[in-house]
Amino acid sequence: MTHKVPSLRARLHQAGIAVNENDTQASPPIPWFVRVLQAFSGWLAAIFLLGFIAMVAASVVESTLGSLSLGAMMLLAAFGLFRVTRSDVGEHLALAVSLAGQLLVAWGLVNVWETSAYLWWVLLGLQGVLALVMPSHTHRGFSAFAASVALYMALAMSAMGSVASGVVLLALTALWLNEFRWPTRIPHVQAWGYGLLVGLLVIQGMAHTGGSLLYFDAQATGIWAALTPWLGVALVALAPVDPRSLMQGDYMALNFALSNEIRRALQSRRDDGAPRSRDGYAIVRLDEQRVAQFQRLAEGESTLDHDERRLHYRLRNDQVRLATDAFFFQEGHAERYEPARYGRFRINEDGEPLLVSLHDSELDLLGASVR
Amino acid sequence: MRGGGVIDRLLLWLGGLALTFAVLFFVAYNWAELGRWPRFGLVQAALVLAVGVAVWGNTQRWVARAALTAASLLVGVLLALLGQVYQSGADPWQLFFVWAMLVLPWVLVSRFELLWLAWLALLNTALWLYFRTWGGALDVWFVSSDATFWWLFVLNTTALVVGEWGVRRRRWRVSRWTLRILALSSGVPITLLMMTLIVDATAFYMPALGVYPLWLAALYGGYRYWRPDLLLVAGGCVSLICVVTLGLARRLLWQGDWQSGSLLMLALAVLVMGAGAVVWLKRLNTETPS
Repeated sequence: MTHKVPSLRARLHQAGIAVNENDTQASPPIPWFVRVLQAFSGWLAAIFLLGFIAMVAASVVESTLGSLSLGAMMLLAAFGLFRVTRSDVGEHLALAVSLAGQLLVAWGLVNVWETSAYLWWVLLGLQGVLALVMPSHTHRGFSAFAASVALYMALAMSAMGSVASGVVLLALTALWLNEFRWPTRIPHVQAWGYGLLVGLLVIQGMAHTGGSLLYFDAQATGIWAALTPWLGVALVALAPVDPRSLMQGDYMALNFALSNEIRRALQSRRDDGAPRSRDGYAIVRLDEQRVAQFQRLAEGESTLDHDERRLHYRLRNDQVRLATDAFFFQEGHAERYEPARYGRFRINEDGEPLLVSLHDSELDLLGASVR
Repeated sequence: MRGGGVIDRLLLWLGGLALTFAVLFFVAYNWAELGRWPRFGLVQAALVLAVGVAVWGNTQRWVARAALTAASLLVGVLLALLGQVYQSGADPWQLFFVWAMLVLPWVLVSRFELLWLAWLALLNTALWLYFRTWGGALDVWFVSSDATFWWLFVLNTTALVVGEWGVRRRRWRVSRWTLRILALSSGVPITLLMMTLIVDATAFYMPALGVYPLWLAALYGGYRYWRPDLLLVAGGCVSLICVVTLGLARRLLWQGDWQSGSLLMLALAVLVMGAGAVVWLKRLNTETPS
């Protein structure tokens, strides 16, 4: 058994893996959250640094070429610093300089292409290169993350956003499956893998919240765009989630004329210190069609005429609600309720209303909420 | 559980959740066709079934837990259904609060951390919505009302303290991640309160001046010496960096005039603090490898 040990050591050495010659304790690996802290504070510092540069060298930053070249110089400086330094402070500084440089380059590119797909493709290329060359694990991970987001934006610009998560997932799986293929590069692969994983989560999050980061109209162009839903499904095999609220179908927001009158009455007598939320009663009179007309706000115990009713209202953030502010119906039944003009309530002895049904302007029944 | 336990468990959970949501979506998509009684009947039958499985079904712990989780979710579905059918217009916070109260017995008997966390999340949501409804005048997202963050802080800190006490004295088996999540949900509100105090120094936030250092000291003492957990110490560092940076920014930028030098100073301060934290955490890491 013993004669094999040197050969194993030799093979490891050949593969470029440092083996402890004696029994010195190797320092434990840096935990991931320390890297996160490093990335976070580097990013924060980069923002201030960029602000400083923008104020000192405003004329340089304003010209496209100036900000591009300044950004490139800062990236080179960061690269050099990463190579030279072995200390944490140096690595930290390099990270901040690099992030500020990236922001400057991105700024210059925005001047050239506005926010078009080209911009994101170029940024994707930049981040890819940085992820490959920058000799820092934090930076590699961050660049992989930024690259995956850039990929998503680039694809979304050509209305192919749903493909992005599939592509990233593919790259991620390929990376983790080959984690140990290149023994010297195991940490690199891990950094890329973590970065892409976070990127994938962000992309999925954006897709599920309806792409809140996208402030443009994605126009569908060409055959690729028509194919994207299929591509996305084939790659990820996840059904699209209905962006409507999780809880059931559609609803119609309700706003009754009576609510507005109650609100006006409240506003007219209210001083600034009045709460924006309260419960109270209004007195309404029923006309011959039994449509409620606002009379006054109820003050204490007052006697009611035979055609008057006490009605409980709730003031919430300056909005008056009678029972509910929404009428719920099954998904796709919206047209049926569009002509709604009246709501029918049941009122109990305490004046608590319950919305029963919606009616059109002729008081014909459209649909009931309680069957 | 045998060797293939992970897959079994995963399938159990996915199956339980899928069944629960199937009930939800079945009712929603057949709203017009189902009358009032079938709607309620369906959800209630599913609820009884889930509880039945938990009580009389298989004696395996995980099956009971999955069944109780499904039952807890179904209570929420039932409450939402109640609100939709009888559009009585209860305030949203009431839904979450009643939901939390109703499922509390099951949460207690299930002895299941994830269900406890979900229950706490329900309470947090109820508190948040309550103050959205009855809260104060400030509508900035981060001060959506004055008292929310105080109450969230109190609630989550209490949960954290109880959890740690249980682990220490009662030998509860609580995973470290549960406690980390609790510590995070206690740290975020107090940090935001402190940052609000810096931006807007009104008397209402003044207690933060005393509470925040105490909280930091407790975090440090607790998770450096008592139960070492470097992740939480790192979280405290992030919180402190945020607060100090905002304080410096307010001094240098708001009150002083905008000078380029002050931006550079801020950048340097953040760099120094970040690098210092990293160096320190690395040293702690070599001292106490977790």
